[in-house]
Amino acid sequence: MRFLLTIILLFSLNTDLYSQNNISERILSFNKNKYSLVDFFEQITKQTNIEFSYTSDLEHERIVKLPALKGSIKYFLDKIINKQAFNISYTNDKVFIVGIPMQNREFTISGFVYDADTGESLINASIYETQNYDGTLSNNYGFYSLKLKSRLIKLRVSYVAYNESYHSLNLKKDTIINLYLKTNTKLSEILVKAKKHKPFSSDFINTKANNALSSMLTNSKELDLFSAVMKMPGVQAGNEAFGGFVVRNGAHDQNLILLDDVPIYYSNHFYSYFSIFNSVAIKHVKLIKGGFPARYGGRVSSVLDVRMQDGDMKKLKGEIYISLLTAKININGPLKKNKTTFNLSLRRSYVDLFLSSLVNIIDEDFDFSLYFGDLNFKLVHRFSPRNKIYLNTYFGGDVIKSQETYDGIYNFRSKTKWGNYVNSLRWNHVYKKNVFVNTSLIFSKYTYLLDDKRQYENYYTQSFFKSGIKDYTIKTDVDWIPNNKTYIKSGLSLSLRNYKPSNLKYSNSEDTSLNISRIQNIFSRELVLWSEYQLQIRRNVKINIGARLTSFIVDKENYFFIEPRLKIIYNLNEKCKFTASYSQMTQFIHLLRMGSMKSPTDIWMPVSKNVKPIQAYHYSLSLDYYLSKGIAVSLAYYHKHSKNILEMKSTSVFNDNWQENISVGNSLSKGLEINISKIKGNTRGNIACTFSKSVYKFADINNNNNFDSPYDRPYLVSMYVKHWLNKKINFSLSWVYGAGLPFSLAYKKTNLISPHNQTISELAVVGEKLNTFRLSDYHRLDICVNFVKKKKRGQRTWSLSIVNVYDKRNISYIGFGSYYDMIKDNSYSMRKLCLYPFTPNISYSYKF
Amino acid sequence: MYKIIFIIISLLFISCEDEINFPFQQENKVQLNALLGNDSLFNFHLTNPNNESIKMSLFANDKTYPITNISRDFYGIRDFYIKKNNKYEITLEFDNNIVKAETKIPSKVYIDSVSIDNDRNIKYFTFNFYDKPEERNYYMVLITSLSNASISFTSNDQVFKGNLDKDYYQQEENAYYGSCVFTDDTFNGQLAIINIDKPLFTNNKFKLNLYHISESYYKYERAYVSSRNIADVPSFSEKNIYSNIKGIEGIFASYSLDYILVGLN
Repeated sequence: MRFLLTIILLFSLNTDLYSQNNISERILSFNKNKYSLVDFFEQITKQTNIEFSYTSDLEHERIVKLPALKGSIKYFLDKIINKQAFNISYTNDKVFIVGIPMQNREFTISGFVYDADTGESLINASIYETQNYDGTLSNNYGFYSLKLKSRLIKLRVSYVAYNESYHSLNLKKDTIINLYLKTNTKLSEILVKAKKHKPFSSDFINTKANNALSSMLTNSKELDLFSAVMKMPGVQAGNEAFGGFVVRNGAHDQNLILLDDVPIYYSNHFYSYFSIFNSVAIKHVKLIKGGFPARYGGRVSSVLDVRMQDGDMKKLKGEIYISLLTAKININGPLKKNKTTFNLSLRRSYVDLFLSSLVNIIDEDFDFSLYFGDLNFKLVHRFSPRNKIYLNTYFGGDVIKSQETYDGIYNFRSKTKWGNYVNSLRWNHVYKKNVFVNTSLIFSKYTYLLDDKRQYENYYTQSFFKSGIKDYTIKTDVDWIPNNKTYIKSGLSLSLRNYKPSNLKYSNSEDTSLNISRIQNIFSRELVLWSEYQLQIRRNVKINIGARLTSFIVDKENYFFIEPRLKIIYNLNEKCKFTASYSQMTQFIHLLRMGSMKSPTDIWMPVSKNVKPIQAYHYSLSLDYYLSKGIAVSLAYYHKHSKNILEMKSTSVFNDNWQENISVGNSLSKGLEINISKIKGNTRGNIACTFSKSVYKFADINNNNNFDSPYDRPYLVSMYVKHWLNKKINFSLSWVYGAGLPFSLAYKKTNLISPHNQTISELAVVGEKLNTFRLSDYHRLDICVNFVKKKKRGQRTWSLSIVNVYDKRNISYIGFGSYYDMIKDNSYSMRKLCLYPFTPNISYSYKF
Repeated sequence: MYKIIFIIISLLFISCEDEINFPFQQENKVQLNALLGNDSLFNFHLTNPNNESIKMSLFANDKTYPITNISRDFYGIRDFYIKKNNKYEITLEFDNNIVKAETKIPSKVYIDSVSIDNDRNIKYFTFNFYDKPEERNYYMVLITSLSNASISFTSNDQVFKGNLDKDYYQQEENAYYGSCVFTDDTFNGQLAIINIDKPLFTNNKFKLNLYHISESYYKYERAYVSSRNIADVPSFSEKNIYSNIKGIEGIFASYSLDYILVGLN
């Protein structure tokens, strides 16, 4: 409550700053809309007895056109008098209009930052003036706005993996200037001149770790996005092959994954071997683990904001990539030069081609195939320097098919499909030199389908299961940059969601009484209003304060939450920065897992009357220190408390009464993260260490005692290094070492009882406490060597890579042959399965 | 070079599956299993692995019935009858611990009638009973021979949610498969009509047992059935067997039983 009052106070304080004396609010009315300026002043004096005092520079004889016939004095003067050239001050009965000396006048430079070769807009590019170090960063669409005093100025523009550029101009009026940067082709030099420049970020998230992530993705296109993300401190894979990534011990579903502003509900292919993001089409990635700005919400652990490339403005470009598992192609270019671009990426795995043949050789009655594919399309049209429109489409999924036949009598076929379909239409508009508006229409859909038919002669059964979520969103975000020390962002969004948790159709040809047709539809509405207020309090102190107001309506239940956010950055000196943050996050949808493995049959469900939203309270402290030669060190401590997280009580299987079978509890995670990154020179890389602890507590699980969360990994070290031997050969090495994850085992013989027969108890093997076992330590080394050669029309790359070089058999999951076989005298045996053994791969890519 | 190629190929074809062994870590905890049935004698099973001196007493109708000092595993039957709607509390004292649990005997629910349908290919029968509207009720159905031997049966009735459906198991992984308990959610306060398939391996006559069970036993049964079913599913999340006796293991629950003899032609 105290926090909320502080926010309200700050906002009202701000209102006071902009408010004027009473006389400025006096209402005037006119009977015509054109006057000479001096007549206009006289009219005001007649109506109010207020006198005007002004300088001769004002050109008082000129004719002015009134914007309206009625309004306050302030309203008219603000519209008529050029405030960049004149100061207006109000006393009790007088208005003074005084000229501002030319050297003190402020003008706004605004525009977009683009790649000079491709015309691609650049996100988070740094723009600053070299004398006073006033600066800013471009926003998610490359837009920037900077207010500077009138004089001859020199602007410096820089961006990761681009050559910095300088622009000199004599600033005498508001100027729109688009800035262009050339890609850095040299290996020796990129980015980061810390020096005195501390740009006032539109983003407030520009951490060293994110620079390292961007650098990693820019320099290593062979890296899958999620692999790169998992090299960051505080991020882990959960268990290998269990899908997605885990940030600061939060479950997979607690990560907000955005593809060009659109939330993605399922983000993996091939049971997590690949993310759905086609790395050749990625423009920018931002990972936020704490200190969440108010613009992000709906999940409680992290935000992964992925932006795809717009497409080359000048010429047709592309890339073809073929490996043992997948093939992908990207084509992008202008449809209309400097106006309209497109970017099309396609990918498909073809392991099914030989897997199907192999299965068929083993058993000719059995067919099996498994594949995935996706399409990514983006169309950008610039109507004018102030207006841009974006159309995005993503369509992708995985398919598993199997068919079995015996002598033409018995026939069984099964098809399982899951995937995303995503569409968005966005309109960027620069209203004024310092107001940027983005309006989006968004549609996102995730579907899981299972179609199963079994036929025996004329008798058959057929079942069709469908689960999914549809998300329709309309939203508007506004960036307002009143001056170089204030950046205000606000937004409003409305989302309508349709959940289909478990639709089932079952038909039985012999007994129609067994037929089932079950359709479940749940609808929710979410209205969000958010605002962020970024202030530079002192030269070395910046603050981002914001709040997010959400109303979530489902089944006549209305949840209303206010989520305060605060982040303070203190620059101790040119090299050292402290950050402290507090975020309160709320999540209105739950992912019900069918097991400890994140499978596509995971079901998204909204909160309900009985199942409350997850709420997380996140505190973090961090220290960033820039050493030299592009080496930066970061230390961060976090403390995260979540409540209303769900666990299934005694089973992992979804059914109609799922709310009965779940237990609601709390989690507590805390940890220390250390990150060392190097983003300059021939050898670049990142070393991340995380020490953490995460526990769960549920009233009716584990006898209300704390137990280790399924993502509790007390220590984790990950390392990624890339070295360029020369322009033609480079290699990368990735190594990860971490404690094994906890898991539960039925490890105890016990007596069971039934009312049917109470004198003979049964013997069973059951678990007593949860997550008391741990898998063995996890470690893995991957290497990749790239041979690059410039060709006449492009560049080709041969890549040789090995996953799990020393073949460490990390446990992907544990299973049993059969329940009774596993029990021995004093122990029981299980099967452990490793999904990522030693795996060599070769790939060829050609970029043109 | 050949050696390297050989190693690579060998690694590729080595199975990704290995066997690992985990020892049983039998914790020596006291366990009490007691199911109190209406009009039955009180019986219980106490596991006492450390041979501690355990003082056990049952409290009912404002009266305490000391059971005995037990210093070993013990199956006990005490010669007093459990009455419906009574509340019972059990207390165990051992090694400076006092452990308590309580249960209320559910009221007896009578099977109203049984009807047999012989016209169909798949023979089944229907029985009905009246559910009490005031509270959420839990039931269990068991079929036994006349000599009380357990007989397996199937049912596609919606109250079992596919748990006893012979086809259901193949369609979808079902952790509760085989569970004979159900709630009154679909017929609360009304006449419940339940379909049961003709039991397997029976002659003409068998016993249909309807148990009105306490919530604790419902949870206990669901937990151990799912524990069995998902034990060999690699992706399952292991959960505890439900217990309502804090501090030790086991269950202190209750039921009321009604049964009827059924004859199928």
